[in-house]
Amino acid sequence: MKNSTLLVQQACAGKRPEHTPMFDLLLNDAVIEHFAGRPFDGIDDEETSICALRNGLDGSRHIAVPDIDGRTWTDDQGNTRVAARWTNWIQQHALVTAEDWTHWITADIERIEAQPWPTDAEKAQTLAKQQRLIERLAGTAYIHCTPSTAINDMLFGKMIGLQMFSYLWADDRELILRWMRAIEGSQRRYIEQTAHAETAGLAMIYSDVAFKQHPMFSKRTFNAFGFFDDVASICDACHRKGLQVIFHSDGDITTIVDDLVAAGIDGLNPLEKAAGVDVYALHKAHPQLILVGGVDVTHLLREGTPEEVGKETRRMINELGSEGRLLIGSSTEVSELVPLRNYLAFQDEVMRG
Amino acid sequence: MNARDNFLAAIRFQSPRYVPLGNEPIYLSFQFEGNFRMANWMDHWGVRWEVGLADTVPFPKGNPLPSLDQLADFCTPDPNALVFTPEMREALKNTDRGERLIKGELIYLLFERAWAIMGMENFLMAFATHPAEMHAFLHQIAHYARVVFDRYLELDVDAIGFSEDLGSQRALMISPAMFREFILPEYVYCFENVLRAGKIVHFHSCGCVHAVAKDLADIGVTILNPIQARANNLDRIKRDTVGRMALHGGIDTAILANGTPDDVRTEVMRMLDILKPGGGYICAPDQEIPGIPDKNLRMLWKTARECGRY
Repeated sequence: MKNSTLLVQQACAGKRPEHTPMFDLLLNDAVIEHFAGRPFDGIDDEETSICALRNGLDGSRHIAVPDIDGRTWTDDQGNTRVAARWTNWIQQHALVTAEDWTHWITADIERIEAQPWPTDAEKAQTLAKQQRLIERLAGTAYIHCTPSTAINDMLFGKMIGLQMFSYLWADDRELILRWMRAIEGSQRRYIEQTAHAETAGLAMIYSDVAFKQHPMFSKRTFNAFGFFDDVASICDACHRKGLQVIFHSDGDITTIVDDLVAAGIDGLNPLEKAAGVDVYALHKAHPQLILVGGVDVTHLLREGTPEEVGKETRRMINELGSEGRLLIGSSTEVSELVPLRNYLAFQDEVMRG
Repeated sequence: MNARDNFLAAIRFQSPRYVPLGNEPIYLSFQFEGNFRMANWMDHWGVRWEVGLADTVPFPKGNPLPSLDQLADFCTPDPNALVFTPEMREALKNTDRGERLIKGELIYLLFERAWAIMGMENFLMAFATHPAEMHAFLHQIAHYARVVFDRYLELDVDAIGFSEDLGSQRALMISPAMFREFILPEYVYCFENVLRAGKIVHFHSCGCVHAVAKDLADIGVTILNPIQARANNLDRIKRDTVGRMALHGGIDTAILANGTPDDVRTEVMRMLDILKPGGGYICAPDQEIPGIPDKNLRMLWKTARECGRY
C-alpha cells in the first residue's frame, strides 16, 4: 500500500509533504499504458486505467476508459450521442423547442420530488462501488464525493445547454428556479447519504461556469439564481461529513473566486491558465486555498519542451506548495495531445520533492 | 462641405472638418422584405423568431437545422425572392443623393445567420465536428449575402450594412484562428463586388472584436460599428486600423444611461483623444439603448461638436 492518500491529506492540511502530490485526470493512451505497464486490450480497460493511477499518480477525480471512435447511441433523454475515444457529445438533441423543454422540466421536477435520489438500493450500490474502488486503488487518493451545482447539472447533466437555459431564464424564470431548487435538494440528499471522509477527505463540486476569459454569467445573474447559496449549501453539507471541498470549473473564474471563498470552498480545480487563471496571483490573494491542477495543458504540457515543463513545475512547487495546499497536475486533464515525454518530465520534477 | 461630404471625408481619411456625429441623418437605410422583421414570424430560412426583452429584440427560437447530420443537406432560400417594395422604390427615388447616402441592409449576415439556423450550441460544435460541412454551409450563406448585395448594387446604393455580432463581452465567440479559417474568407467573397464598385461596407458587431479588427481592415471593411467601449481595447483597434477602416461608436452607453452629464463629457473627451487622431472616427453611442436621459445625449453631441474639430 503506497502512502499517496497520506501525502494528499498532509498537503490539504497545509503541511508540506515528502513531495507535492500528483493529482490528475488521465485521458491519454500513452501515459496510461506507460504507468499501467499494460496496453488497453478492450477486455478490462478499467483495470488498466486504475493501474495507471496506482502506479503513476497520487490522486485522481475520475477513472476514464477509452470508448469506440464513432460509436453512436441514444441516451435516456432521447438524444443521439456520438463517442470519440476519450469524449462524447450530442449529435442530435431530442428536445429542441422551449415548449419541449418546459414539458420535460416540469416532469423532471415531479420525478425528483416523487422519487428522492438516491434510493436505499442506489445508496448501497454507491457505497459498495466506492469500497471496491478504494481497495483496487490501494492507497491512491480518490475523490468519491462529486456533487454538482444545480446550474451545472442543468447545463451538462440534463443537457439543457446554455442557449435554451438563457431563453427560459428570460421567459420562464419561475420554472427554472423551481427546477434549480429541486435539483439542489436532490444533490444535498446525495451528499448526506453517500459522502464519507474515510479516504482522501476531499469532495469536488463540479460546476463548469466559465468560458475562456470570463464566467458564463454576470455576478448579478449568479446571485439571481442563487448560485453562491447553492455552493455554500454544498460546502456546508460536505464539511459536516468531514470533507474539504474543491470547486471545479474550467475556464476563467477569477472574478468570482472571492464569492466562492465566501461560500466556503477550500480549494480550486483545475486552474486553467490558458483561459486566464493566474495561479500565482490566486495564491497570493488566497493563500489558504488548496490548488488542484494548474500546470498548463493547453500549451505547456502539449507543446513545450520537457525542460520547459520541468522548469514551470519547479516554480509552482516552490512558490505555491511550500506550505502544502498544492495537488499538482494538468490544468484540466491529460489529453491525447500531451506527449508522454512531457508528462514524464513533469513527474520527474515532482518526485524531486 | 455638408454633413454627408464630411462623413465621406472622415471614413476615407481625407481631412474632414470635424468628427461626424452619429445623430446626423447621413444614411437612408432599407432592407428587402423577407429576411428579417421585428416581429413573431418565420423567415424564409425557416427560422422562427419571437420578440422578447420588452418587445425590442426578436430572438431566433426555432432553428430549421437542429441536427448536425443534416448540415450537408441544408439549402439556402433564394435571395432573389426577397422583395423590393414599391414603398422602398419611392423612398429611394425621393432621396437627395447630395445630402444622404443610401444603405442596403442585411440583418444577420453570416456568423449570426448560421447560428440562427443551427442553434448556437450546434453551430459552435460543428466547427470542431463537421469542419468540411461547415465550410460548405457557410459558403452557401455567404453566396446568399453576395447575391443580396449584388441586387443592392443594381439599385445604386452607396453602402451595404449588416449585423454580424461576433463578440461576447470579453472575447470573440470563436477563436481568432477559427474565425480566420472559416469566417473571414467568406467575408472576402461576400464583399468582393461591393468593394470593387467602390461602395461602403458598414460592419456591425457588438462585443469584443479587437482581436480581429485588423483582419477586417485588411479585407477592406470600410466602417466598423459600434466598437463597444467596455468590451474592447480601443487603443489597439485604433492602432490596427487607422488610415484603413473607420470606427463608428465607442461612447460607453452605460455611462450615457447611468452617469451624470459631467461623466458623459469626460467620456466623450477621452474617446476623442483615442479615436479622433488620424481621422476615421464617427462619434456615437456604442449601443442603441432606449431610456438614455436627454441631458446626457445633449451633452454627448455638444461635447463632440466642441471637441471634434480638426
